[in-house]
Amino acid sequence: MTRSTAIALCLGVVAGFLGSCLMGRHAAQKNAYKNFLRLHPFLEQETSYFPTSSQLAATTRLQCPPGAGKILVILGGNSVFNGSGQKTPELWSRVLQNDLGAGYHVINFSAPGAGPADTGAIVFQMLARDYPRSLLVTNTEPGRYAPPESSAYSYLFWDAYYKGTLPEDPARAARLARETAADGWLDYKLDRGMNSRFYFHDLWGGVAYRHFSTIWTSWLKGRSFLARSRLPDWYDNRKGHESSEAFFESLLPGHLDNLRRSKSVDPQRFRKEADGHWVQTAESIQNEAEQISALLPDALKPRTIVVFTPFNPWFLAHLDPDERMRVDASFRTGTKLAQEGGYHALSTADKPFEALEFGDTVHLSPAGGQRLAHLVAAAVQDVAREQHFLPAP
Amino acid sequence: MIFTAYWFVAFAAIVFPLYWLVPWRAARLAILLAACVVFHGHFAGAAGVVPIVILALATFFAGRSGNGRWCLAVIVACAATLLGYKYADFIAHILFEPFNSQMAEHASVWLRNVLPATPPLAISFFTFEFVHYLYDVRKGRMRITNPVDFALFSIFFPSLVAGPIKRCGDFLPALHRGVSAVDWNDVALGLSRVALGYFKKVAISDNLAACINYYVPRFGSLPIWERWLLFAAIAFRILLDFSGYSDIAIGLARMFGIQLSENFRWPYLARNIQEFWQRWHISLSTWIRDYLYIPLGGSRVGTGRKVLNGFIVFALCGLWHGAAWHYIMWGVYHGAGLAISGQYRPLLGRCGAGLGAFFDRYPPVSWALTTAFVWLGWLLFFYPLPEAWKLATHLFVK
Amino acid sequence: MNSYLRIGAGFLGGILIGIFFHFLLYRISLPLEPFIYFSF
Repeated sequence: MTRSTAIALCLGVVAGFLGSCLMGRHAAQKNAYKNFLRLHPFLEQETSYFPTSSQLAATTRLQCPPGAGKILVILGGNSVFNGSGQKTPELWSRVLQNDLGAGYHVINFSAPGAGPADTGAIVFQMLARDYPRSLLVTNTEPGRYAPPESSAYSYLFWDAYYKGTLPEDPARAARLARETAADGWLDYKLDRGMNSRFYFHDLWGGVAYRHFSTIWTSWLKGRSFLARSRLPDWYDNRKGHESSEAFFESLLPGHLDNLRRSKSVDPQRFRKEADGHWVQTAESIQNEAEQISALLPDALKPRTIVVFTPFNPWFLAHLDPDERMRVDASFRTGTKLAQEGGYHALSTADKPFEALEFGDTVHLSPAGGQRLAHLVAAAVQDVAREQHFLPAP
Repeated sequence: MIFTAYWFVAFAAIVFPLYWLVPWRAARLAILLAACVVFHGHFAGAAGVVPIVILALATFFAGRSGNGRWCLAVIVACAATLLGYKYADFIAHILFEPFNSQMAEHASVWLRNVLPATPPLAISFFTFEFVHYLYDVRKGRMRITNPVDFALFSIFFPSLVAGPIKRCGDFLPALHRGVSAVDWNDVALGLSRVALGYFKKVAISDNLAACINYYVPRFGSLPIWERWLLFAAIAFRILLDFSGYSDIAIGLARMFGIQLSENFRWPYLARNIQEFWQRWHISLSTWIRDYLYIPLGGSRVGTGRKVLNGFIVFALCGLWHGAAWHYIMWGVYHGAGLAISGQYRPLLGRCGAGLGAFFDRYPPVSWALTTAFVWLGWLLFFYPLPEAWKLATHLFVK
Repeated sequence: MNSYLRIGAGFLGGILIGIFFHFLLYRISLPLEPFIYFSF
């Protein structure tokens, strides 16, 4: 290679890299999910697709521009809110949108296994200033308050954090500095930190969404290299099961064992009082109060509704009385802690959900999704009124 | 994989511009040495650095003294260290299992408590390079007196993790040439080579690996043509993974102006097993030739002894890749292939000569046989014998 | 003319390598075994 060719190549490397950074910066603002209804495996990490916080924010801006005059309702939470088991035409968040009407825009960023402050909560924080009339509705099981910086969806948190799009929160910054001081965090922080400068996740995630993907996964097999925008909602092609008691019987004993190991039933967090009632221990209450407090900045808590989604009464009936008492105590305490923490809390434990409104122990069938939507719609309207989002009558 | 860690990306982004921009040779040498120390320390940790430093010091001083007995003692120490860290558990099982499986289990547990969870980073490569150096010192071929030269030879980070296995005689002149002046050509060629290596490893081989890991347990349920496709994927996965890694190492070294020797030369074009081993992991095959096969007698001994030496050497070559029987079997398999390929002509008389002439006349046939042999060998390399046998038979039987 | 072509080809090749390095930063973060959470 001649000297001038070598120099040209080296300059080309720098130009190519910097040009890609600029394109990535552009993609961060423009790359949005098209016709987005909810996250599902083909748009998420199960198939090695990792949306950036910018992509979720851009999707929101595309569906509901800031000047549209609507109240933005962002959904976070786990597979229950994700509508696992519901196909897209019957998705509960579409019912919620219908219930709320044209004055609201609902966007569902929940994802399987996500904590209450993951996914949707990240977008809510990023857009809180541009959308002063916005609410977060998220769900969890009482006792599960995974901090977003170390959950399975932490890449979204750190992406937003390093891009500087999360609201200032000195308490959070101090906590993060403490928690992530260990060596094991370094590579992860470098990844997200570099992306906030070079935008490689934004660019190549955008390419994978719009043009072609570059990673083979066992879920997609032969379709692995197709653009993700060409793939259908995973749930729509999944063979579902009709909710029935016979189907629930077939889920025993595995699902019942899982229920027994859940935070609401496992006796670890509880103690039995002299009168035979179960209550949560002071230690677990203190831990959970701290965890709940750390989920979101204080200023955004009054605009957040934490929904404690129910268990299937058919499976609850298979628990013994002590276990059922612990479930009640868990829901009561969780609701109280969330309210004392500054959030709005909606407990569904005392709401009349029927067995056949579930697909299994926790996930709702289309009918259950409708009931949930009606409950959540009422709560959203209450909070919107309280926050003076609605015009004066 | 170390070269795909973000820490390494940040490290390279700092080290290379610094190296290129300083105008003095001594400063470049210092930067390179510091970078190698930091790299080794970060990825090996204290538990990985200390044994290597001890071995390196022993090797350096023994080599500098030129004393044959000391050199031999340190060679033994290096081999013992490698055996202890990498093979102790395996050896304990071989020794005790046939007599008392409980004792084997106790030995295993004791070793797991005494030894670190993983052997020191790149212990195999360190051992081979120290042994080569001390052997050459004993033969009077060389002696390193400059500790900086020796330190760089020992912990040169581009080749530290997965080779190529360096030879002092080639490396030190290349090092001195490289640090003397930064050449645009070296940087450009180095960058291109690094890009090629990453493309082979990350873009292609990792995808093949994911596919293979998914389909191999389902091998029997695939149509026959897809089984052959997967079989080819296994062969290309290891080639692209390993040669990709070598490309990255060679490219990174070139970016410092230092030329390392090639490690792969289109190995799947080989027309016989000898040629395969002249094209595949060249630094390893030449090492075992020069420091195992030739000391055992090489080609100077009779046919029987030559074949036996080949088996021993290749069994050790297999064992070097991992502490498990299927690696040894893979080595023995190649030993057998080499023996047959090297001896069939004289052993089979006129028939052998005729067969040899046929292969010489029709190279595609010998290429096809060699490729089939090598690719079937990969089944032994990756899977225990029963599973490898099942996979191989499933290529032909529905 | 030839030398300009070589320089141009070198620059173009460099651009491709630079773009590939940018892609690599993304690709090395993708785990070989992705996280799968599905309770059913």
